[in-house]
Amino acid sequence: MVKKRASRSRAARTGPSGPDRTSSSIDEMLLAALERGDDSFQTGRYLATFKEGATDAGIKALSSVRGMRLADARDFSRQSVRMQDVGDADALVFPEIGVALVGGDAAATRGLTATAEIAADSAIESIDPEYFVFIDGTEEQFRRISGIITPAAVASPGDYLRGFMRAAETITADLYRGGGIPAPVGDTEEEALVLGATWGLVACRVPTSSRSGNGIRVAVLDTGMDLGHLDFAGRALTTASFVGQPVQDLHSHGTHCIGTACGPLAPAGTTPRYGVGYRTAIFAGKVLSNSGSSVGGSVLAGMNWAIANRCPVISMSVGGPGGPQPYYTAAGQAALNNGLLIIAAAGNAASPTGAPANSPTIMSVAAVTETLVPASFSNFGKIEISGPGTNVFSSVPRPTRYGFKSGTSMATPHVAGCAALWAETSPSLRGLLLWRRLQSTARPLPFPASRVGSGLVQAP
Amino acid sequence: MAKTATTWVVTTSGDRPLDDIAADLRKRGFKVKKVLREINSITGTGGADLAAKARQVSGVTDVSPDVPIEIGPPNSSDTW
Repeated sequence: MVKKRASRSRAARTGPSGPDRTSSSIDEMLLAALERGDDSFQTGRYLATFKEGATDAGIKALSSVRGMRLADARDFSRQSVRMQDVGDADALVFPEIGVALVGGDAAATRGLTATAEIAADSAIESIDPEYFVFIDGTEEQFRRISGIITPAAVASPGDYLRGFMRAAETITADLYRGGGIPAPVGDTEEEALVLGATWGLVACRVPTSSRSGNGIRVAVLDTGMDLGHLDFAGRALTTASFVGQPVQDLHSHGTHCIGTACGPLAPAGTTPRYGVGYRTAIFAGKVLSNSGSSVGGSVLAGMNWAIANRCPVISMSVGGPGGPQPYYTAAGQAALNNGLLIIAAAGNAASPTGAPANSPTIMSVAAVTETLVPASFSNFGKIEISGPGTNVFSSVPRPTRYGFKSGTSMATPHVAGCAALWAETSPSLRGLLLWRRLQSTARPLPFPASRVGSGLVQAP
Repeated sequence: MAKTATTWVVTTSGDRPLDDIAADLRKRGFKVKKVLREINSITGTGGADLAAKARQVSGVTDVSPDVPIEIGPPNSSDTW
């Protein structure tokens, strides 16, 4: 292994003073973000992810080829690194996870930014901006989220975090209410004012079900999840990212879908119940980037992960136009062979069902409205079942916390959540048998099967 | 810096060890990125002529170019 060692103590005397050094404190970076009016939530630093099994080569690439001074987490007791202790290092390497945190100046001067083109034979898989992760509350929560960095690394973070969150809320409110930017249609974010349950859960007869999905593993392959959302505190949570970005959801689509499939029985305050499988084990696989884009290879890697973890229910509110793809069909078959069921959104283009939902081995979901008619946007053709898909209320990342969205993307986690409830009723209800049970118990709707499949999904 | 080559998804029948198939693909110029054992697929990069070559490998049932997926930007009403 070739490493150019950094001095731990030199930085305190002569190190650069910019806010995006590797050793910058979160306080410094938050202040800098506030001063530049940046609401992108980027810290200014970058995360270089090494290819699988190429950590040593990646370290060599950064030190020998790029001439960076590196600090290595292995040099610290129990690999617990306080950022201010990395001195004048250009980058801090976390060998256990194959990632290097690179200071903004060091990255820029060496062409290592998120927009840089990476050679196919490079040991570096991707370079992505580092984002702030917001937390509400305890040091234990922070330790759980970060995994590596000790709470001491963010000495006195509370005031700045709360201030930054208030600023973000104010900016958002100004933009949508008085800044001349209309709120997105179908995505109106507002606080719920009534107790009870969402229309979708009521339509699927979830509130009257005695089932909770207890212990059933539900994989949601999407844009990740807001890991610090208080509605999910204490829940069994397994995460993985396949797009080179942290699992933390900066898009909102993934957090919304997970909320519907797995959200709590009784959210705090006056918020209505919006989640189906409130005792499920959540597997959040990030297969879509924070900009909402991806490629089939990343989605397949997420499907592979969900199957490897033997998740009986795999929810996929992702897709694209075009005919069935053989690789999605094969993945769906692999899931069924293992007693697992992949449930996917048909799509919102008012056109034939897209991929992967159009694969014969994957259950396709259409969207219906509050009046239980097919949503105008819902794709058609190969449709197995329907779910509530307009004005769906669910969780979104903090600081907003809750919001409404529409789409077959929202119908799909209703079906996935109900699938988890059915799976709880019998260990034999898995794979194709679970598929058939969902269809045989669906509420018939007076529309062609090409629009609504067997009807509206129902809880047991 | 070299430009990124076309990304391919190779689907296999599951009747032959994936590592053997991956080795044969490499011989034909395929740069293996991921071997997805649970779903019997291999992703990787290679030239535009790779598909025809890869289809000749025993156990390969399909070779398709990877396709982009887009659900729309954050907070967009235009999702998938």
